[in-house]
Amino acid sequence: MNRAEAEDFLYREARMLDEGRLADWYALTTDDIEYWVPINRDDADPRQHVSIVYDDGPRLRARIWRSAESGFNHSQDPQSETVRIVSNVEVEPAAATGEVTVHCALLLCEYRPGSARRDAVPRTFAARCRYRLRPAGGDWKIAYKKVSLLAMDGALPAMTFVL
Amino acid sequence: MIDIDELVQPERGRVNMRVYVDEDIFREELRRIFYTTWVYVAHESELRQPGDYKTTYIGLVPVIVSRDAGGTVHVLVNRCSHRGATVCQHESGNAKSFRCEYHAWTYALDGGLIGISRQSGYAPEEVAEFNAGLQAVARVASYRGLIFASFAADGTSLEEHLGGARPYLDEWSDLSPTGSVVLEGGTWKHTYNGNWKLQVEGSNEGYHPEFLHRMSSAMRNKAGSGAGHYPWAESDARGLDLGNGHSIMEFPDNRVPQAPDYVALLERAHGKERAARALNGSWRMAIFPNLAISQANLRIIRPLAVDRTEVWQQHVALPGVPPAVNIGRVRGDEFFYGPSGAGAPDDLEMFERIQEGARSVSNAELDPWIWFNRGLRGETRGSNGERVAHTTSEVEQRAVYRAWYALMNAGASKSSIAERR
Repeated sequence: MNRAEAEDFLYREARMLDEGRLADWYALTTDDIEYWVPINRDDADPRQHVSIVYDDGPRLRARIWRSAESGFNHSQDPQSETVRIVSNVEVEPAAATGEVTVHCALLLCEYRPGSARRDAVPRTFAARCRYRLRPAGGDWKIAYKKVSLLAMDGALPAMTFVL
Repeated sequence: MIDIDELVQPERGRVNMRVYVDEDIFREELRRIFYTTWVYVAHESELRQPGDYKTTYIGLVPVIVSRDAGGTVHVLVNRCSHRGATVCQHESGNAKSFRCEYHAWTYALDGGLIGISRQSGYAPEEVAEFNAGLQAVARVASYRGLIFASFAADGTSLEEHLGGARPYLDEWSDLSPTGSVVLEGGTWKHTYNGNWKLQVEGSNEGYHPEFLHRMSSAMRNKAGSGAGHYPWAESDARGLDLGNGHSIMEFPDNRVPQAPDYVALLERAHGKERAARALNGSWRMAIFPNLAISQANLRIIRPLAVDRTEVWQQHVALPGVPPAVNIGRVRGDEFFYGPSGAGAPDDLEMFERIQEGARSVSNAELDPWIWFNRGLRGETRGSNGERVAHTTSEVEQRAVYRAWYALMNAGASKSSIAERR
C-alpha cells in the first residue's frame, strides 16, 4: 500500500462515517477488530484501564446497532452531522503478514442540526489516528483503529457518534 | 430576595426550577453549602508518598491536597498570598514545595511561606501585613480513605456528617482483601451545560433507567456480555435517605456472580460475614454535595457556574485480587460510562434538556415547580431513622433537597439573605 492508496482508503472511510453509513463501515472491519479511543497519553493497557471506547467486534456491533437501528440514541436526537478532514497520512512498510500500519491526523467537526437548543454550535475534535489494515480480497479491512484525541484527558462532552 | 420556602418544599416533594438557573441562588449555595459543609477532595490512594499532591476544587476555590514529609494531609487554597496567582498548575504529582512563578514566593507542603525573593526589600512591618502562607482549609478528615475538607472551623465531625453512609463505605472498602480500594484505572471527565444539582440528583435516580437506559441492556446482550434486563419496578431495589443529603439506591436481589477465588480471598481476609456484606448485591450512593460512589467508580461533581458543571469519574480498582477481577470491573464500568458509553451520555443529554426547560422560570406567570413527590406518602423509617422507599420512588432525590433546604436556611434569617444582595 502506498500513500495514495492509503489516502483513498481513509477518505472513503471518512465519507462513509460522515454519511452515516455505519453498516458499510462495520463491513470494512475485521471480525477481530480492536477499536480504541484512549483516555490517557501513556498507552495504559486498555484491559486494565478504562477508555473512551475500547471495542471488540461484538461491542462495536452493539454500538452501531444502537446508533443506526435501535431508534433510542437519546444523546443523538437530533443526530450529529460530521465533517472529517484526514491529513498527514504516512504508511509504514508492510509486515510479513501483509498488514500495513497507517498514521494520519483527523479534524472532525460535529454539529447537531435542527436542535431546539439554539445555542448549539459546531464542535471540533482533533485526533491522531493509527490503523492496521489487513489485505482482504483485493481491498483492505480495518483490523485495528486507534483514535487519540487531542483532548483525551480533558473534560469532554457526550460523544456518541463514531469517531 | 431569596425565600427558601418558595424554592424547595420538601414536605410536598416539589422544587422551584429557579434553583437551576438563578445566579444569586448559586452564590448562596457556594457560601452555605460548598464553603460550609464537608466536601470530598481526594482519596488516600492518590497521595501515598510524602510530597504527593493533587489539585481540585471546593466550589469555585482551587485547592491543593498535599501530603507533607510527616505524612499529614493538608488542603490548601491554591493562591499565592502575594498577588493571588495559583502556585500549582498540575492535576497531580510529587513536589518538595510549591512556588509562585510570578515573583518566586515559595510554600512548603503544609502551606507555610518558606521563601520570599529579595526579602531585604521588605521592611519587617510590611512582611507582617500579609497572611504568611497558603490559606489552609479549616478542617480535614478522612473516612475509609476518602478525604473531605470543610471551610467551617466548627461543626459536625465528618463521621457524624457521613452518618448512615458509613456502613456502605465500609462495604466499599471491604471489596478488596486489603480493606482499601484504590483510585486507579482511569478518569473520565465530562462537562455539561446544566446545574450541578442535576448530577447529584441523577447519580442514584431509580425511576429513569427502565426508560432512558433501556437500550443499554439490549446493547449488553448484543455484545455478548448480557446480564439481561434488570426489572427495576418489580425488583426489591430500595432507596434510602441516609440523612444530611446522602442517599443510596441498592439492589439486594441483584447478585452479581463473583469468581470463587475472589470470594475465598475476601472471606479469608474479612471473615465470611463481612465478605458477604461487601459482595451482597450492588448499590450507588450520593454523598452530598459533590460525591457519588458505586462499586466500580467514584464521581466528583464540580460546579463551574449556575448552568455549567464538570464531572470527574474515577475508576475504582481492587488491590490484592486476581487480575481477572479488575479486568472485569474495567470492562463493565467502561460499557456504560464515559463520553461514548452506552448510558452516561444519555444522562448528560437529559441534564442539558432540563437546564433548557428551566429557563422558562424567567416568566413568573408560568408554573415554576418540578416534582420529586413520587412515593412520598409511602416512605417508611428504617432502624436508624432513615427514610426508606422503593428506589423508583424519588426518595433519593428528596434527600438532596431536604439537605439543601436545611443548609440554605441555616444560620441566617431570610431577610439577611436579601440584605446582603
